[in-house]
Amino acid sequence: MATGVAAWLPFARAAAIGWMPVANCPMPIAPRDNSKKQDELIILNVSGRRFQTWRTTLDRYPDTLLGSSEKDFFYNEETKEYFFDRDPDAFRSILNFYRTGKLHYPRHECISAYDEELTFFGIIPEIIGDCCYEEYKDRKRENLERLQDDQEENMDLKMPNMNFRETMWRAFENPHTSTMALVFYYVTGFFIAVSVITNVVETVPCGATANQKDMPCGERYTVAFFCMDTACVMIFTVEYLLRLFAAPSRYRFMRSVMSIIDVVAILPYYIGLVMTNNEDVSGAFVTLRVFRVFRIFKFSRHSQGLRILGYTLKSCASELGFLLFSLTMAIIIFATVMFYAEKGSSSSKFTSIPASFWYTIVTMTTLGYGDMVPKTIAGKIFGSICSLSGVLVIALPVPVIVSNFSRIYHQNQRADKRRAQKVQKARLARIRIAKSGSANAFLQSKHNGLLNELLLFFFSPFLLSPCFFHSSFSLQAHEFVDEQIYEQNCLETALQTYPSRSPSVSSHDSSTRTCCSRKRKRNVPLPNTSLPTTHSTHQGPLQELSAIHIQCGDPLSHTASRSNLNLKTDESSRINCKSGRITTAIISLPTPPALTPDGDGHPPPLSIQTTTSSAGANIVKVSAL
Amino acid sequence: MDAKRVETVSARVDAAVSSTDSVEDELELSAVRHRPEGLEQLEAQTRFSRKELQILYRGFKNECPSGVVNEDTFKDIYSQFFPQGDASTYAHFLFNAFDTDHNGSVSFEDFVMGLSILLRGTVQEKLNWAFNLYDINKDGYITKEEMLDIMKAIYDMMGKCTYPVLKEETPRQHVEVFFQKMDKNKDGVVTIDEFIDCCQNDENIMRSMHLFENVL
Repeated sequence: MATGVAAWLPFARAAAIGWMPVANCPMPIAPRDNSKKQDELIILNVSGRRFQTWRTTLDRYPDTLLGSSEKDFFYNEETKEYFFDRDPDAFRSILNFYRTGKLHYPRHECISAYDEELTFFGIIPEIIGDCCYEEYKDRKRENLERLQDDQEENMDLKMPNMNFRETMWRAFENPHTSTMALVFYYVTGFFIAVSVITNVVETVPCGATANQKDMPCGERYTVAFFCMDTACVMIFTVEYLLRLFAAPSRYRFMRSVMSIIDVVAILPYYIGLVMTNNEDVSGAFVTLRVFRVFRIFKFSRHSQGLRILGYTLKSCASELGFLLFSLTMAIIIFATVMFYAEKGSSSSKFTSIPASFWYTIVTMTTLGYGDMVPKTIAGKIFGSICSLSGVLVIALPVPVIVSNFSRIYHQNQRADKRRAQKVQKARLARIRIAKSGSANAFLQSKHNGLLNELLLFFFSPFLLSPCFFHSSFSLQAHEFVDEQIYEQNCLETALQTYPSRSPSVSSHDSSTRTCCSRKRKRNVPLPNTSLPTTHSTHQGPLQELSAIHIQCGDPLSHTASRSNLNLKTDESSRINCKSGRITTAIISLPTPPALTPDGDGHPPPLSIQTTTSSAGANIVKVSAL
Repeated sequence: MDAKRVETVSARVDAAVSSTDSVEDELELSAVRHRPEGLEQLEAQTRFSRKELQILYRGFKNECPSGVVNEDTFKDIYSQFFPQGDASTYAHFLFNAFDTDHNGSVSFEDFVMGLSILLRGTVQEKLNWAFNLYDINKDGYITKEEMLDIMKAIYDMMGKCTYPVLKEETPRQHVEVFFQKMDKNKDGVVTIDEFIDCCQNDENIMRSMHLFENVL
């Protein structure tokens, strides 16, 4: 609403007639609005789609690209329009922001693409209207989580020069990395299983001998079981110590859940060793043996499903807490009611309220053991109410937990699938790249000689790395897509959408690949500022190339607002499949003139005079820088 | 202002819902849309040029897509120009002054007519309009109570940021001064003739009236 009221300025000034006759002194002359010139239409050509709006509409937000003189960089003299080589669909919401003052986030849009558009046009995402803000935040968080997942995966293909400790840690965390790790993994798994089975079998009555009654196997074959136990505990101890040694941060490792489980699993044995047949504490010692069952939790290192379950429970802690709390409330209520209802009847099992707790729990969870049943009519009525309400109370939080579990589970599935694909495709890609020698063919296919010169000048290090080259800057991207499947993996969607969005490839081949999956970050080499900065004039390959770089340059200069273009060289080395690291020359472009926001539109103190002229400028300010 | 067409547009979201409470649905979901008279007619009736009318209508329609302003929107818009005080009472009086046919909403014609008088009218017309504003119950007389209400509204709107700082009884005093000046026959009310006469003789007021010509 604030944006449009500037048009009501004449009305506000005219309304001053109200206090004129009563004013004691003459009114001061109203300041003439000199800045008002004839309002003109501006044509914004976004990738071919023409948007038109009034100049004043855009001037409402002087801190953004369109509202400031920054858009003059994109002005095309010949066609008298402003050309932006961006996504026209996303531009719609941006232009609507100027018109209505509210920024909306279209749900079908990819979150990172949208973010980039916002950053390009100098709009901070925080002003997204309430209607869309929730959705925006959710998507952003999801994307971030996914990125973090991927980053952790990326660690897999680490540098070869890790020291022994790091190798060991990696082997522990990812058993698939080396054969030794796999062996270790299976051995520990086997021993966990053995240990658990021993614990179980220990208590089974082993067949009575002639004179003695049934005794559990544990007491009959004490030595055997003791040896088994010792062996398992030794293995576990060794494993724990090795992990402790290899952990990058020992303190953090010791605090982690898995290590606590490990410790709890082996501690009873040592405690049992220490205190031998002391009669007083042996009772406590027996209790300690219960903790041996925690060894089964060690399986969670081996089973992802268990981990997911644990993670789900942790993330649903509030729902579980609510469930518990409401159950407790209901139990107390119904137990009290049942107690007083059954008080009258003789030989009632409901001797006290705590005694009724048992009945209530059994009834609410629809177990119904039948060891306690109400006998009076009132008791039966309340008992039935109790069981009905139990079903409801328990059924309520369960779907939340289930949906959480499902979401996390699917996320993991996706991650696993991606990992599997990557491994396979990288292998295939390496084979292919070795065969193809298409770097030179690419160069020769360019008719623009200057392009070659430039390419040679800037990218001579890169000539060794055809894949990087092609993937980023190939105009005939389609051919390469067919030939080199890895590109699908690395940069697939980028290439397919390349023809339509040329300048943003190097920033978009990262984003389009995921949008909905994953976002890569790469350092992109930037050319010198000697290249022309407008890419609206000619469409030659040279221009596109420079445009690519300029495009990446622009965001880098907006370091404050565009945080997600810090690109790492690891990325390019991976895409590079074959050759070694790419050394990129990072050159920064001059920042576009930073615009100071206009003076605030605070109306000065009034003394019965019209000062509405400045009030008109009191518009929502968007500071992007 | 005769050719006012009001179209009631009922949006039926759910047929089942509509069948049950049709009356309530009509009230809630109907959008009263008002289309103003043609540009030529307005041009003839007001003193604005075609272009000016276009600009005015664009701004009007932006804030009020339905074509009419109701009192709350009016107050909202006006308050944004005077954020430091409470402009709602004054906006209320203004609204009543603009709403010449007293139907609770200001259409574009009302708006533009009012603006035409205020910005482009003769001094006589402006003073007439001001009198109409002050005369809250539109009975042709301005009483002290009405004047006091208006005065308080104006002072409220100015807020605390005035120079010199205003005291509590200032509005009352101001009203007294005003009445002493205006009420020639001392009958306790100010009629339109007294008002216009007095204002025309007052230099300050005359000078201030000319200031409006520069707007728009």
